[in-house]
Amino acid sequence: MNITPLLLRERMFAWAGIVVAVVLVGGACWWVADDGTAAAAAAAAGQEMDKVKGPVLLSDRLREQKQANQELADSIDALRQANGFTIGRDFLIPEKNEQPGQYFNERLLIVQDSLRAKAKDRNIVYQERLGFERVVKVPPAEEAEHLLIMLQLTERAASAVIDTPAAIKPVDSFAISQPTKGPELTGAAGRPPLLREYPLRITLRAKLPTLLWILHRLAQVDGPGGYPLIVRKLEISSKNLDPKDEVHSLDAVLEVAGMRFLEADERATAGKPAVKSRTSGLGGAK
Amino acid sequence: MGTTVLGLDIGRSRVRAVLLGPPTAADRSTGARARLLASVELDRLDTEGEPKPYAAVVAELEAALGPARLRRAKVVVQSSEIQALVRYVPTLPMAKDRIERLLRLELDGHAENGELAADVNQVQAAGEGEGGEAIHGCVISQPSQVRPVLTALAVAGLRIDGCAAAVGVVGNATLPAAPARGDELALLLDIGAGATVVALVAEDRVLAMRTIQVGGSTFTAELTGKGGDPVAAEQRKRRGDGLVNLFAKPQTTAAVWSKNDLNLEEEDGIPFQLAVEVEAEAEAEAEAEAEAEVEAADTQEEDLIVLLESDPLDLDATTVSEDPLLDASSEPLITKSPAPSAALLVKVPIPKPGMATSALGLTVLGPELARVAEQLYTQAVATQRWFGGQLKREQLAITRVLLTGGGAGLVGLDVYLQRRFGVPVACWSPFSHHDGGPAIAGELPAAPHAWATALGLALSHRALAIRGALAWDLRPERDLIRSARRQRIVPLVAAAVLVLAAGACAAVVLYNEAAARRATAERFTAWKADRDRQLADLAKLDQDREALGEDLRAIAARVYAGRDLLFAIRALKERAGEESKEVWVTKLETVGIQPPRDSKDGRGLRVAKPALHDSVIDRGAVLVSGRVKFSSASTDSARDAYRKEYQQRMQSWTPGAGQPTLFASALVETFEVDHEAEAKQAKGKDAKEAKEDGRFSFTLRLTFQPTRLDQITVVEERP
Repeated sequence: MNITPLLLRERMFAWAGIVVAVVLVGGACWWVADDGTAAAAAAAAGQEMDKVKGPVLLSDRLREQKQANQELADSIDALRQANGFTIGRDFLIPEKNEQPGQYFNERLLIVQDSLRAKAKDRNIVYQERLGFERVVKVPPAEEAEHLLIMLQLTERAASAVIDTPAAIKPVDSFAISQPTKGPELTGAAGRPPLLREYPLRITLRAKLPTLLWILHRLAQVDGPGGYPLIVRKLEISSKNLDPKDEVHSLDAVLEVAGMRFLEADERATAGKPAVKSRTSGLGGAK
Repeated sequence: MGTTVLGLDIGRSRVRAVLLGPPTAADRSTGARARLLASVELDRLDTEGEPKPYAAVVAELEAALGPARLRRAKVVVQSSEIQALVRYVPTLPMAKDRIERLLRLELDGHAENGELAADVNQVQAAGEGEGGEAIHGCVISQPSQVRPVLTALAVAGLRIDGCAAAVGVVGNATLPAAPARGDELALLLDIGAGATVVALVAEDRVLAMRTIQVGGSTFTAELTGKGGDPVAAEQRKRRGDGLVNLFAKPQTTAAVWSKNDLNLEEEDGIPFQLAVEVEAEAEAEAEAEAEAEVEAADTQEEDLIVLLESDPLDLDATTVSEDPLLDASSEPLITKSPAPSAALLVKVPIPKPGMATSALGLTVLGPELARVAEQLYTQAVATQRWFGGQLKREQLAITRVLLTGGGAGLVGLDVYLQRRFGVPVACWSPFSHHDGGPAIAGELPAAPHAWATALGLALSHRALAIRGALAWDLRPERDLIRSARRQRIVPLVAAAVLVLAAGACAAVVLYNEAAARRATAERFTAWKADRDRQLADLAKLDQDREALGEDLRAIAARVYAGRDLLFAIRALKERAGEESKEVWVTKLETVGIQPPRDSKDGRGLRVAKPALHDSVIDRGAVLVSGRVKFSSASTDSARDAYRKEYQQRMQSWTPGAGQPTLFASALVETFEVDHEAEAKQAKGKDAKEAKEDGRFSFTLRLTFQPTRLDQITVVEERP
């Protein structure tokens, strides 16, 4: 029998301490432990991540796509630089010129004189007005800029028709007209217009090699500052209805155009393209 | 191997230790209650007669037992330096914890500086005595005595499991052998060097115990006399030299009792045949001396009675304690008895020895030792009566007296005491049953009666599970509290700390785990958001790519139109010149993409479904019109085969080796043999001839391939 009060209070306190410790520990564990939400979220995350595994990292894919897009943009820029025309200095209205219409008439006469001289040497019959109005009338000033552009393109097209090499028989005759009143906005469907086309219609009679040379010459870029004229429509017809007939001159109607690409800000405000995406590069809408 | 218990009895002159272990199955079959593994007896005194330091004692003990056995054993120790007194406190039956508090209050008066070194065992259950109370035996010592001993032993390297007093544990030695059977009671006299422990034992328990201040040294001192040599007297006492005793030295009995051997009914019935051969003068002289001694002994006995009567310990046993924690109006918990022991001691004188007894004492012990023996008897009887008073028993019928301890071997003492007690008295071995069987298995030590205290110490340990054994722990309360704090509080505090630490670790782990999961979820959310953003970026890039592609195709369709026309003319020339001489192209016309039309137009012509792509800018088609004229008449099937062949050749034309075909399709718009028209157009030929020529016209739609971005180059390819 133990008569010594052996630390009953201390033992009680110790046991109470254990109980408190257990309660504290249990409470702390309960407090900090995951109630299953985080585990479920982590498990769901793991499952989601397992699902999205693929052969290529998305970041790599993005980088490659950006690179590809950049290459596309570079290609577009290169094509724009190579195929878009710029207005030559002679066809720009001088800053201090107060009569742009008169300036156009002056330039028209110069061009007509130049072409007349070349055509005369080759005995080429053509319509000397080149699709413009008579010079006796001065066009409005607001039309002068467009008319000068068309004059530049007309000179480019007429020169291609007239300036055939000596080995190739020149065209028999030709005429140039302007099928539209102004430029046409062109671009892909759903996309802002990409460029303005300034169309010209060339009606000519020539041998097939001459016609082919003209087609080739129109697509050529004459050095720095040069530009091609694209073919929008072509129609060739022959009078030779029998295979045994001798091939004579062909009648051809070409619709060509100079391309003037829009800048980014112009594209955003230019409106819808006049020529829709589903039109072809050849022939236009029909 | 079970727990071993070392009972270490550090006496005044001898140190005895017994190492006990649990009995084996074989031991149990023989009735043994424990197994004696070792017994060691050492001199307590050095050569100069001074007590050895405890460190030396422990070192000798370790050398004798072996360090391993000593380290493994549970040690219960008693030392002669620890004085203990015994009190008996009767209480009403009550709950154990209340009794403990009550006894603590009762013993508080013995506290030294508020500290007790005491322990209590119930020695008699309620109802066994005449008063009906439960009797609690209290052994009380002084912390100032106990602590130095325990400290010295601990410093010496001994791990103490319990500290007792000899008075409390000697009775335990009787429990394995059970010298008293049934209702019999035996009185154990363990005669030590300085004192004798008197214990009242029953078959399976110890009822009472007390120390009387008569021991071996008392006999020696009596022999020494004034100015004598104590050493020589001790030798004389041990050897019996110079004594009149002519009997053989008594042998330690195994509690074999036979009243037939002792004729105790007659005063002169003692079996001392040689006594009659003593000469009359010697007898007369001896009787005269004996009478003188008896008178002296009687005088001492009276003094002893007075001493016992005035012993405050004994008389205080009737003190009424009022537990302040209890209801003051309740019945006193510690009963106050009329102290029959005191009354008996005072009122009933102990009969003096008769002439024959005195003569016997002189004969077997000599005058000096007989005087002390009588003194021992007188105090033993007084103690017996005191036991009766404490236990509230009017009659304590002692059936035998057991002599143990070093002093039990005194020659003639058993004979004299047997004469005086009137019951069998023997020098008793606690290791053996009365029938000679082992009560404690193992090799018995020499003089087994001397090992009762050491054996009782060992048997008091609960590890040996001796039924009825009294276990005492006299360690001072502060030590007990310190030990209890170390054994009970510290583990609890440690457990609490461990729980906290483990809980903290678990909480940290759980927190980290939850945090990791949350972080995983958050990372996933962030990753998903980033992925969604990247997907959106990718979708935008795809849109941009599509848009750029559209723009590029739009440019390319314009730029490559002239080239494609040249290619187309070249293809027509090549196919017409070499492979299809019959063909004559008369018209070439560019057309754009047309919407699907009905299978037949208004003219009834068969219309093939054109290729149509609605997502890219196509380069359109050319309509090629011409005529075919065979050199000879042909059938319709031949013309159809020719048409198919030409159609196929045109569709398969490529600008160069390894390049894709120029046309995506070559569809026949018209394929009609118009004989009348042919006839009209045939110049100078009649209709019949024209019909026979088999001329026919055709219109072929050659649709260009869609613009492929990978074939777009800045430098235009020359046709």
